[in-house]
Amino acid sequence: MAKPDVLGGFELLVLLAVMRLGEHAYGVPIADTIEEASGRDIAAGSIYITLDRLEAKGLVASRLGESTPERGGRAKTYFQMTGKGVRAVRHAQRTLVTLWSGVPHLQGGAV
Amino acid sequence: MNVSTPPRLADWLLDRLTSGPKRQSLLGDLHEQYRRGRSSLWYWRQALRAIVASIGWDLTHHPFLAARTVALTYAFLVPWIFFTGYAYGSTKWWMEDTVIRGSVPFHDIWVIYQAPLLIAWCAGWALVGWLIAALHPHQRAGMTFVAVCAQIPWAAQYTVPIWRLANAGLPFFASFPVIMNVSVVVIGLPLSLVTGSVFAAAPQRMTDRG
Repeated sequence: MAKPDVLGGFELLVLLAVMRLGEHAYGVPIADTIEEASGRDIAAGSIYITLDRLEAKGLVASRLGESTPERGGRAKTYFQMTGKGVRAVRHAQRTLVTLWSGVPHLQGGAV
Repeated sequence: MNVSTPPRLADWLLDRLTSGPKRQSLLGDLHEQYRRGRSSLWYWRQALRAIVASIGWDLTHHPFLAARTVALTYAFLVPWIFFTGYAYGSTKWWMEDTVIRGSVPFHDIWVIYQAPLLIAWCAGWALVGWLIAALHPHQRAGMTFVAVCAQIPWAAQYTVPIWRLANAGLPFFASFPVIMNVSVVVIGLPLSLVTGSVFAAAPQRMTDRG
């Protein structure tokens, strides 16, 4: 079996947001989810660049959704995880937890 | 809730200078968020960041087009610089004798500030911007950025006289025409190129790939 893709930090955030949102994952809620979790202002353009990269790697799939007047008549693009994407996130989680457990300063959330 | 339309200039720039397979969805997302109460400042910040992201996307996905843009920029601008320089130089004294005829303001504009030469250069740069945008309607931001960067070496060597003047210790009024001249080359020409690109016909309203 091929090794799972190594994810960048922002790629992991975007994938986790897509997983959390399920079938409602498109640009706006993805940005909101990451902003709420990280407290950072997220550039919508960088989310689409990242999603495009993830789609090229086969980690997410996209489909066109409905357009609404408040969007200026432009359609939404919905994203969903692929099996490969879920494996990549699990691999990233295992890697992070393994590394985390080796750092005594960070045990229990203390800095 | 903010029911007004987003800042028009930011929207106009977004429509012309963003690229990528999901650009329509991106523009729709920004509209949606603005109408949900985001500020105009937020919209401007997002627009500029989306344009910068588009430049990065264009350059990483189309390196061949970027190389071609550098070649095109030089292929047009080098002959244009020589042609306009030759035309200006060969008609300058004829203009002095027949049209200017001792008029000091006209003489200053034509000979000291070299206004016709600089205007011709600005027009040439704008034309290059337009040409590049017309050739790359879906990679406009990235290719315009490449063209601006491509002419930097020429602009940099053009600034050499200003350093010489600074070292010569000339009074400000004597070096002012050169400072003006160099300012047009360093700031005005890149701006002309970007203006030409932005004013080229808007890209087609493609449907995003799903």
